[in-house]
Amino acid sequence: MPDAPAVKRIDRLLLDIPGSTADYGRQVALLVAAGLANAGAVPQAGDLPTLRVTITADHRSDPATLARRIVAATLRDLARSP
Amino acid sequence: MKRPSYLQLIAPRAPGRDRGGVAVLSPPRQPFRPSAAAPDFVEMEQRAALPAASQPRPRRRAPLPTANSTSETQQAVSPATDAADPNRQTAPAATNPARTVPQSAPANLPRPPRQRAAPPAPGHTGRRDVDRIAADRRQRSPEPPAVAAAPGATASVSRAVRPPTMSTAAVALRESATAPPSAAPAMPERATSPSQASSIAAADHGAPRSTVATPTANPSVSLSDIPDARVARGGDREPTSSARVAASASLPVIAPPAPQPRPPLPPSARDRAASGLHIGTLEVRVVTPAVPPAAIPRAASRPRAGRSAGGGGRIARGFGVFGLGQT
Repeated sequence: MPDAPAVKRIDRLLLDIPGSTADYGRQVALLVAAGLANAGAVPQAGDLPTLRVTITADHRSDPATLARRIVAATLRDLARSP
Repeated sequence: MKRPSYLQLIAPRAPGRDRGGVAVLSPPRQPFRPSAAAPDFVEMEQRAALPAASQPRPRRRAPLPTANSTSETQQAVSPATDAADPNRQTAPAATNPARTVPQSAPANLPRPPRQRAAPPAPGHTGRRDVDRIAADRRQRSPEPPAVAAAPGATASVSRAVRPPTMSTAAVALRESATAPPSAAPAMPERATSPSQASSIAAADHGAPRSTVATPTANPSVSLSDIPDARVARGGDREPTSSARVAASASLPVIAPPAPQPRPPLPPSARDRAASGLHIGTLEVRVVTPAVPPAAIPRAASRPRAGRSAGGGGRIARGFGVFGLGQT
């Protein structure tokens, strides 16, 4: 019997992508949320008031590529956080 | 009898007085105490008008430094005279009866106990008249007023009228208020005091009695009239503080409502906080790369331009704005 998936809750997602449009940012945000929901290497429990992630990427890149990089960096920071 | 003060004893024998005729010692000025000296002061003001007209005597001037009179020195040194007459500083020897009437001075200077009458001075005819008048009125009046019969009757008029109880004061004041002016001198009992004797003597000398008795009678009536008005009203209509407290104590006590129990948390939220992952705010910042590849050739050409300027390594003007990799 498979275990129930862990509950992940993010109250607020803030994206700061200079030189991009709102539509581009909305696509990136949806892809990030989907990537975090499907990620398996997420801690089972934890409470973080604020998590800041900084990546270096070109704003002219693909939204899906940028979203993958953001999810990877977020999971990395979550793994390092206590 | 008050014994002479130390200054009175030593003033005539002061060495400076014998030598140069100049007063060496000056009497210490008594501090003005209005509470103690006020009744005597008022009475002395009444007496001041009479002897000036009936017994004209040479007024004594204030003691000058060059005066060489022993009696003046004693007058100046007398502390009782200074205490009883506060106006002496402004108007020296103008209205002081102790200097104009030396017969009454022994009764004024040493303060006698207030409940005893002053001893009659020998050769004082005014005193005999006063006693005779007092005896006649005592025989004429069938019942002395309660005020005068009070055991605490003193020489001071304002204190003598002060009643032992409120009801007695009310009755006495009503009697005095309704009595005709001829019966108003129901105070012959108070004539035992020296001040009252002098006031009656002043009336015999020609001053109108009403003007003499008015200043002392009016304040006493006004002072004791306040409790009389309360008694006439038949009690306090306004509730006292104790009544207010009792009334407030009978009111029902309003207690704050009991704190309502907190609603229990929903199980989903509790489980979420306990087992799941919660991130309040996820801030993602995307930084673009800073150095573009096209800026490198320009940076390489910069030293050459510096050397061409001939400044020995200095950067030419205007070149640094676009240098260091900026496009």
